[in-house]
Amino acid sequence: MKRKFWLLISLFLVASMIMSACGGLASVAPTATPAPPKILKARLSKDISNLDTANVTGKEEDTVDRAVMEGLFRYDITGKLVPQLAETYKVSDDGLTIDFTLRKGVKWQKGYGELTTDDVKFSFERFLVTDPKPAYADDWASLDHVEIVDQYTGKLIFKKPQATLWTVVLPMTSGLIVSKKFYTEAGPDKIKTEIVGTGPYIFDSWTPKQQIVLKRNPDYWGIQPSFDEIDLIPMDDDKAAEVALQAGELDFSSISLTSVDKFQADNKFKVDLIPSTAYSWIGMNVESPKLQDVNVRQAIRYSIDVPSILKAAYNNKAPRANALIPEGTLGYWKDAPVYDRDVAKAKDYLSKAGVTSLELTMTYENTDEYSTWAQIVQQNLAETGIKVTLNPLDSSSFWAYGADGKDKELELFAVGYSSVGPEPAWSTMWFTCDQVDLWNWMRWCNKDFDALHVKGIETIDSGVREQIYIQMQKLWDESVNSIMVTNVPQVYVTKQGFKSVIYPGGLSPMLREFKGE
Amino acid sequence: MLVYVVKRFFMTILVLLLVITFLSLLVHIVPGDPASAILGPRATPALIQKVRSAMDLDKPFYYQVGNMVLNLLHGSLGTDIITGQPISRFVFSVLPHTLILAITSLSLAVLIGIPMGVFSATHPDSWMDHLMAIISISFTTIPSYVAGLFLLLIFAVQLHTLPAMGLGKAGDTIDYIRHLILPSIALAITWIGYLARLVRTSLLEVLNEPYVRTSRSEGLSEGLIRYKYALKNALIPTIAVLGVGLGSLMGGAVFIEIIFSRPGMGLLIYNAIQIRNYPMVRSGVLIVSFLFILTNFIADLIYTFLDPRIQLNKGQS
Repeated sequence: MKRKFWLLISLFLVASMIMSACGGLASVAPTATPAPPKILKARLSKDISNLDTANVTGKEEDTVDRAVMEGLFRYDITGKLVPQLAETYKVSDDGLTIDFTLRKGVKWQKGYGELTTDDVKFSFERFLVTDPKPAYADDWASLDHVEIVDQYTGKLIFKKPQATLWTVVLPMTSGLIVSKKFYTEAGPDKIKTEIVGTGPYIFDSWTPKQQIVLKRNPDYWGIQPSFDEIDLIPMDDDKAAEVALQAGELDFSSISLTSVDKFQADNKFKVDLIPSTAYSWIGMNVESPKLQDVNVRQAIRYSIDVPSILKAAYNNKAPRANALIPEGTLGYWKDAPVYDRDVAKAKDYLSKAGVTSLELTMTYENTDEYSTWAQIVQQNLAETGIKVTLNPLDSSSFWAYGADGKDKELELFAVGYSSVGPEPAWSTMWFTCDQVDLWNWMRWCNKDFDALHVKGIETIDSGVREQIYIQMQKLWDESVNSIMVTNVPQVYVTKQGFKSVIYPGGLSPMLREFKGE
Repeated sequence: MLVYVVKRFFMTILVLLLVITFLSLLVHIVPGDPASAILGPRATPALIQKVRSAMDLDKPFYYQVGNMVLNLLHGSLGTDIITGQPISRFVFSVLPHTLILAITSLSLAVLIGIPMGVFSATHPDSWMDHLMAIISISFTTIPSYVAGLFLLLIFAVQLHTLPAMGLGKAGDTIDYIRHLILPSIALAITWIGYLARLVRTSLLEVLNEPYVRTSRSEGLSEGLIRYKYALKNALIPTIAVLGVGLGSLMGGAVFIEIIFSRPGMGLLIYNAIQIRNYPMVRSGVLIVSFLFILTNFIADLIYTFLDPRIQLNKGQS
């Protein structure tokens, strides 16, 4: 018996060892190397899923794409727009033509030849296909075509002016130039998880759910990057990332706002609170029979204590938002009215609406952040005499309200959107009439707002644009369709000895500009 | 034995078919639109429709079942719509790590929990028995993610002796084992406590059996009685529990995988559920179900190895 028992145990352990070997983990004899490679270990908040520049699904793909690929223009470390692959450029007076000359001798990684205007034409005209339209087709909606003059010279010809070109298109992911040869050879599936660029880092490998490895591009045309290798580790959980930072296994990561104090107190780290283009609010479905009366919505507006939400959910680390467009973005409405809690006023509005009893449902994503919001709103509204039932949902169920008109079912909801960069049109685009049934969950439709949105995109003069967006926010405010809460700052922790740079908008790290010991 | 194996084979097929059917029905029951979740807010309606169609979401559940069975017969788990990669690439890149973690954790539990239980049973009501009881009950009640967090804070953050996340450098077995230590201990702790209590109870029961009293009256040594005759029978329920345990750890180590940022089947399925990536969920659960059935089958075979009186095909002992 004893022998059999130990035989079983041994078999168990041997099986474990065999599994280890099967996992492709055969030991490799150590070899002497002259100097260890400089490696940056950074967190991605989720794994990549589609790196195709016309269909990226999140900021993680943006981060990887922009480290490997380049555009005609880019943002520098100060957030200024500068030419990248365009050696020279000229914009016509009417804004409808951009003449450009490419840098000569720029090579595609992995042997895909030299960068030419043919690649530029292919990259941007890809957005014009209609079967099906790529996710980011709107970014190039005003492009007519790209004209090739010669191998290095070309023209971008537009049907109408488009101000967003210079903020969130040309210097961001939609403006990255792809290798025509690679894209044609690779086919539609391969380009989702493999990329070839002209940038300082080469996309070396992707092990699903484990890591993405970027390697230094030895043939890079510009200044060589700081690291030999960047390991990007997908980690969904903020807390796990924070432990990994403390254990010294990550050099850079985003963290939660609630952990800011802890990392600020530790001199091994540098903490950056970056104002972001994210915006969060409590929305009211203005088509809901219970919320159609503006007086009811006013009552809700004056009932909710936004500073308490900021204190409870963000430890007072997030600024209060009073209007749609965040500070730092053109069109920020500095003098937007601030609505302080006033229960007496709220009750007055409720009686003006002739409402004696009101029961509402508040829908939100069941994160700590929004659960805190919901509890405060429930308490606040109870004092006004409004009973709120909470409806927390998992992420996928919550975001399903953005399809097929499901948002009709909503009453009150807490939600947050973000802009890819500091561009006001990215904030206003979700609240036009054609977004009702999709992402305009307040179901607020205002033709003037829509007309101004179009005008805002087609106006190049930034002074005029600013006034357009302020006017739009006034219309929004008058409609009482929501209570703006915050522009949640993004928090990044960098290990001492490393230097991080974040793209304007605060959502993506600019890996190519990271420096290290 | 052969009849038993054949019966189990057909039962396995039936269970897997039920799993596929249930998961296909799930698409129609659970709220949340996979296409929107996968593509994000900028996706055009045409693109959403294309993804829905590619995921067979616009087709009846029996079509989805048929399609999956057909894929399986061709040795494929299908293609992931999001990345365009074969689903098997995802499953088989994480499966070995899940198996290693589960086997290592249960091995640890066996190596520590069984001796603890034997010691307690052979020293009943001693102060050491009481101490073991406190330890084992405490271990049983500690959730693995709590144990994991404590281990991380002590060994990775404070002492910097063991790594906190991931699998280690590819190709470096020693580094891989270092990365395995904390998660496997965290996962083993509950099992150590549970096995210790289980073995103690079983062994105490067996030690009171008439044949043990008879052995004692015949003058056999206590060691021979306890370790050769009694322990053998006392371990049979433990083997059954281990079979189930190994199976459940295949897909149930999700918290440990999150805390230690360790790729595994639990995390793969969990992430897929979050974005309603149903083909990935179906394949992941199917593989876990298969492994669950397999480990239980192996446990059944081990019964006969331990006690030849147990006849599998008659389902009796």
